[in-house]
Amino acid sequence: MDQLSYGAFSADLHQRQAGTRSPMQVSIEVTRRCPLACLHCYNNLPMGDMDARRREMSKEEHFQLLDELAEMGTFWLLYTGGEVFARKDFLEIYTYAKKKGFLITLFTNGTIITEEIADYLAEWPPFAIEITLYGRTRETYEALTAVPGSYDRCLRGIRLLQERGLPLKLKTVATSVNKHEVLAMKHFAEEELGVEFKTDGQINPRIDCSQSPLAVRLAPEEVVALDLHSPKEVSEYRRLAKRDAENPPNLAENESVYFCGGGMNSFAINAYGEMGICVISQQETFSIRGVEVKQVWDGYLQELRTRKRTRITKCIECRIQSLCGMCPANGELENGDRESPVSFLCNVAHLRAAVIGAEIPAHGDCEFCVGGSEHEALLESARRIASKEIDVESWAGPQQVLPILNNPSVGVGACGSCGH
Amino acid sequence: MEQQVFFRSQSVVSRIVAGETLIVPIRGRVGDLASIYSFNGTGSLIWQMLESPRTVVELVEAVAQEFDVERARAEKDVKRFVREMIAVCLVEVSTFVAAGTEGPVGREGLAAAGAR
Repeated sequence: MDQLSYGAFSADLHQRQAGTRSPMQVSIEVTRRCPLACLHCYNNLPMGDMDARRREMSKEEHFQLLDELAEMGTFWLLYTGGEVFARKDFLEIYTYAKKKGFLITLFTNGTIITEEIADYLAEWPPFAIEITLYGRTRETYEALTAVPGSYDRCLRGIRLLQERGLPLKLKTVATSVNKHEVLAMKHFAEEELGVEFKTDGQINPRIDCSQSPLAVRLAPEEVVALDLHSPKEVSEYRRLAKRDAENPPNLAENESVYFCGGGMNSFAINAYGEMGICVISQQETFSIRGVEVKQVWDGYLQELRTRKRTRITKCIECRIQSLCGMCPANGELENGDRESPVSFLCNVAHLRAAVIGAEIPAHGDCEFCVGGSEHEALLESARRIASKEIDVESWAGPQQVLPILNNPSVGVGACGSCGH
Repeated sequence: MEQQVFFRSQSVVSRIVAGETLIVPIRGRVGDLASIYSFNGTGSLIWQMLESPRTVVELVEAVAQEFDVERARAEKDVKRFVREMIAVCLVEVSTFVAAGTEGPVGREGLAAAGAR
């Protein structure tokens, strides 16, 4: 009998599966309803949204899905929302999945975790449970979640899980509302609780086409200042930039629109029983209701995953792709077109490269490269980050939050894909 | 060991992933939840057999026959493998007492094992 550490097992399995199309990882959205109303969220719906609730997959449909995923060889499952515990039957679905032998990660905001739920999870432990923390003070947390009392409930959830030794990780989404507390959140997680912490500065428009989350998105300079505040991140970005420089993109190999693991070794099922490339790529999804999951994976999703790009964009020949968050799903959400470069992400990537001193070879008509309309501004931003004019440690809280919400220029949909 | 029956713990499940038999702990306090267990051919056969309660004698017979090895060698391998699995709580054990002399403990053990 071989006893393998999880890390060794995972690395070995991924290596053995490399190049084969097999759905090893599946993300399942059990609901989009959530007790919080976070300003930055891409899919949340009110808890009382009865139409959403009616459309959600039933418990029995989830059981059937899990039976089929086990047959297909899926090993890693992610349960996400909305808020997974918003569904009263979630633990039944979860237990069914546990008994099937999946390695399960749960994403939750922690605010409706009770002693009973925590005790149950201690008996049937997930592989990992990640709570998103939105602030280190009640004022900031609730300015983002828009729900009074949610900060205390989140801390209670964290405490309940930690008391039971569950594999807890914390994370945050850095926004203009909570950016000044990111370092305090990191300290709380790593030093006070002794758990892993990560920060994500990427915010997308909503999947219902609303651009409202962009109102609280950090400026590109702030995203870069934040992720380069960590020496570990700087080192990783340097390694990636070096790898990109040494392995220039090959146009012949880049014929598909998609270049990620979505549709190759993973896929997502949304709350309404539709399969997509990932949870944020919802422009084209395929119902699994009444049909075999494998049939959808082998048919519709494979066709989508292997679809050829229609044109050469500046992204295709870009050699700092590893520094960039651009993917077809982001193109979909921000521009209504999978192939259309997202200017914000392009700005962030070029700024990252400039700050860490990575070379940026010419790659088509790029406004952020030498000679481009935004190049001088980019260099000025890089200078301000390097000189600590933009410094994470000196960030203060927003003067006001409400005017952001009331800004008409960002609260209305401007979607290119559905005309909303 | 000859006086015992062995059966799979209900706190683990097995999966075949990428052609390999993997044992995944699913309940608290079982083995090491950060670990994954996998078997070779002999281990997979024993694990399959342990879906029902089995004695060492039954396991040894099956391994000797399936892999065409001497009984003594099979017995040594089976006993080592079963001890390893018990140590990490993948397998549970119940006392078996020879027919005609079994007491309440033996009967209950077998009944419990059979019910699993």
